[in-house]
Amino acid sequence: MNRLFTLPFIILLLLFGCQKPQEKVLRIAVSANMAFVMKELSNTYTEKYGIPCELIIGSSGKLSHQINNGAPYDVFISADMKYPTLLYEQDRTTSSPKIYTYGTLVLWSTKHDDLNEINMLNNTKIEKIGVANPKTAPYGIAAMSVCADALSKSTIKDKIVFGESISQINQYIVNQAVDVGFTSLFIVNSEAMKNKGHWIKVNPSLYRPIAQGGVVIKNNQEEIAEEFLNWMLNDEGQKIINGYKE
Amino acid sequence: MNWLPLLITFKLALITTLFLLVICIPLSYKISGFSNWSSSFLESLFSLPLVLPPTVIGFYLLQAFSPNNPIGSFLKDTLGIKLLFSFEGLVVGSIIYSFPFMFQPIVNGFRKIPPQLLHASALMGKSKFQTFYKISLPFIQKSIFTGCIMTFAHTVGEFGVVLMIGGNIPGVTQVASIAIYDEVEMMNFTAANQYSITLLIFSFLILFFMFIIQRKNQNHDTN
Repeated sequence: MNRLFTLPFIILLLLFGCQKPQEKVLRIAVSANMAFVMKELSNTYTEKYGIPCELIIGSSGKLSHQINNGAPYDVFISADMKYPTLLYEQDRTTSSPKIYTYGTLVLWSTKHDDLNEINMLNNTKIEKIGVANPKTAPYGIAAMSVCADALSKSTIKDKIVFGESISQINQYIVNQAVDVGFTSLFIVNSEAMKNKGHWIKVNPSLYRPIAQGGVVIKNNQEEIAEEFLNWMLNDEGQKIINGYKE
Repeated sequence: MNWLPLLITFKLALITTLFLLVICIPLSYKISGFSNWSSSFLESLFSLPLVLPPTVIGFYLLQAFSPNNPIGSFLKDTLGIKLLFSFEGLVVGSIIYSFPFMFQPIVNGFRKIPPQLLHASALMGKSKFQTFYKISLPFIQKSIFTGCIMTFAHTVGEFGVVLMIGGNIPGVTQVASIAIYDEVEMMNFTAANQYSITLLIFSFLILFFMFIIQRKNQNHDTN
């Protein structure tokens, strides 16, 4: 009996013994569409200013819900203005959201290489169209307005499958679980996804511009968080972001 | 592959197991002596996490721990405890989530003790505590062992509750199952695969180990 419990105690001691001391880390909650861009941004920032960054990736809606419940994040990079504005109104942020970029909706497929225009969605060989959940994902809202324009109501019902966030849609597309899907230009231009399948930009007149905003969260590190967000809004940060927008 | 999520997973599982061990032994001992009706009621209550989707538990914990809520704000302002998005919160969540896995085997173990043994001990003038310590506990050793292994393994596999109340913070609340989810989200399938295979092998070994020991005990009993 005694021997049975000695082992866990030893392991427990070891586990607690090898915990490293907490260092100053900037926690950045980032919307899934910006995940790849943010990785480059934060790596560059850490290299330059020596402040380690951690990314927490999710849909804008989920992340803002967590922040509202007190999640210890320092910066929130949303895919829209709605969620950061809500947080600002609830006094969770230091100031109102700042637009760091405008998002571009793309139609992407790894299954059909003859993808050339939006009307192709009506083609019978397209059976499933992936769209991020419009309730929580801004790109989902944009995609739904495009679909409402291009497709009849019954086709929408038959063809559209919803994913939890844009990253789930990306997986659906890459794994060919859907024929085509709506995602962000930031994803298809990323290092990891470049040269995979075919994509076209959706005509911007078909959806409302996706203004993407960032805010600093009140979490005892506002100063360094503010510096980071400003850096992202200035030349250096914008240059990296725009590198993904070609 | 980063080892930190696996380390956090095992730390969480171990602490949860120890807490549940301390809670469940006296609790099951008490309940095993209750009448039919009240023990059925309590057992149903304690077995709820077995059938509830983890999202239900996660959702209620999220509500309860939130600083916008009386319980959460009391914990935070008066006691200075933050349970949302912290490791401590995961421990509380896991204790609830894994509760039946420790409780069930131990309460069943206590019920299987032949009453004659306990009566004999009482007749020989041993106190209740002495009987508990010298007769009951050694008698249910195997059940306790099963409970520990099952609790540990079940906590390692926890996902839904952690996703809802942990917030996926690397080095703090990012357990292995969440790290896998995260890597898949980022489409790092190699990393996701490495974590998954580690967990798969580990889980198999733990079950294998448990069955070997049970078999050994069985052989020992029949001889």
